[in-house]
Amino acid sequence: MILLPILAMLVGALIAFFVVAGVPIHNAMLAIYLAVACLAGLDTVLGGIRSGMEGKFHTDVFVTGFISNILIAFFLAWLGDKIFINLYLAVALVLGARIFTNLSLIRRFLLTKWQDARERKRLQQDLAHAQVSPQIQVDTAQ
Amino acid sequence: MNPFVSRITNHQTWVVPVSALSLVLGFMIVMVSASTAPTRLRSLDPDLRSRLATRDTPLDNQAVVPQKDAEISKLRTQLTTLQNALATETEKSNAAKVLNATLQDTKFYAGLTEVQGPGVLVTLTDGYSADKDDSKLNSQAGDAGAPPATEDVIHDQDILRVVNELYAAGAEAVSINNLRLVGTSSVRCVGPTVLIDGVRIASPIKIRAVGDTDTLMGGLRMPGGIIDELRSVSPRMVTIEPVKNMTLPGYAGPTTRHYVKLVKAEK
Repeated sequence: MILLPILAMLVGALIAFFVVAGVPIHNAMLAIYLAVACLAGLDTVLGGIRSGMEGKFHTDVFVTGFISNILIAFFLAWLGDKIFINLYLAVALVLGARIFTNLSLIRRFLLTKWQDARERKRLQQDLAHAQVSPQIQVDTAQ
Repeated sequence: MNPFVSRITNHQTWVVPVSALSLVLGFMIVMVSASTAPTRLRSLDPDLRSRLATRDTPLDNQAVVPQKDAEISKLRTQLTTLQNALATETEKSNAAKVLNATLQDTKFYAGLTEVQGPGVLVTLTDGYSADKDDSKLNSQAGDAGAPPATEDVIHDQDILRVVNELYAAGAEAVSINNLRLVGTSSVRCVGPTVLIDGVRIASPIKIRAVGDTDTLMGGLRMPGGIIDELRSVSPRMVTIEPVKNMTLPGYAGPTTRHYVKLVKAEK
């Protein structure tokens, strides 16, 4: 299930690759705004995966967060350009830190789940092993 | 029932929206990265970039242009000779002589006549051609200390600035690679070469200027000037030599006019 968002991202990338690749963005600053917006989108998607794993996922929060984060990042980068402060660096820094946090939480969650699964399997095997002999006895008794 | 679908619909409600938006995200990322694909020459203007990119294009019609130019020069010299002959032929009237003198003056000013005189010869050479290291163009890393590939090439701006400096120092006639500069001359770059009035030239570029040698040399050597700048990139890119006497060819380009109408002087 974590593969599905990754797969979807690849599909989107492929679509973009065949549809809009090579359309140049002539304004260098616009490219930076869009790059920052991409970073915001990445952060939101990772946040969505994390909250989904934690069981706190709400579709409305996620979708509005995605859109508003992108817009805010874009706006901040644009504003910074207008007032001659490289605000996009601040945006990139914050979003980068959040992406790291989200990724580490996802990693921990997956790791815990994998360990849990292994542990459960082991316990089940133990249990099955323990139950093997009485079951045979029951069968032969009938 | 597909177990995959049931798993999603049961308790993994986040997967579908996240996937949908991550599709959008992937689209955005590729859109941005593909359309702003970094090129190391992005800071250059497109003209220069294409000139560097197509550096190895052979110069076509190179044979035809000098041939035609030589023909034009010959015809113009002939014209001057004929005008002079006509003036001396009708020696009786002074008017013809005066008229011819004015005509020749004007023709000099228009750059149509061959001229002689002292001056300077400035030679601009691409840095790369001296050390025969074309690979430097392709490998951005290069060896430490060497100037970037784009800097040790003679650009049209360099030529323009040298010519400008020469004119400012009082040059009376200037030629670039034996192409005489006149009022309508243009210097621009296309492909790997520089165009002077539409004629391609390439390094080494020899700029000759007739004028006061000392003043011209002084103007060129001005600290912070173009020569200084080029020398700081690579000392072998520029040489300046004083010339006692040299001949500059006349302008060999077209002088036809299509749009200008001459205004008649009022009586």
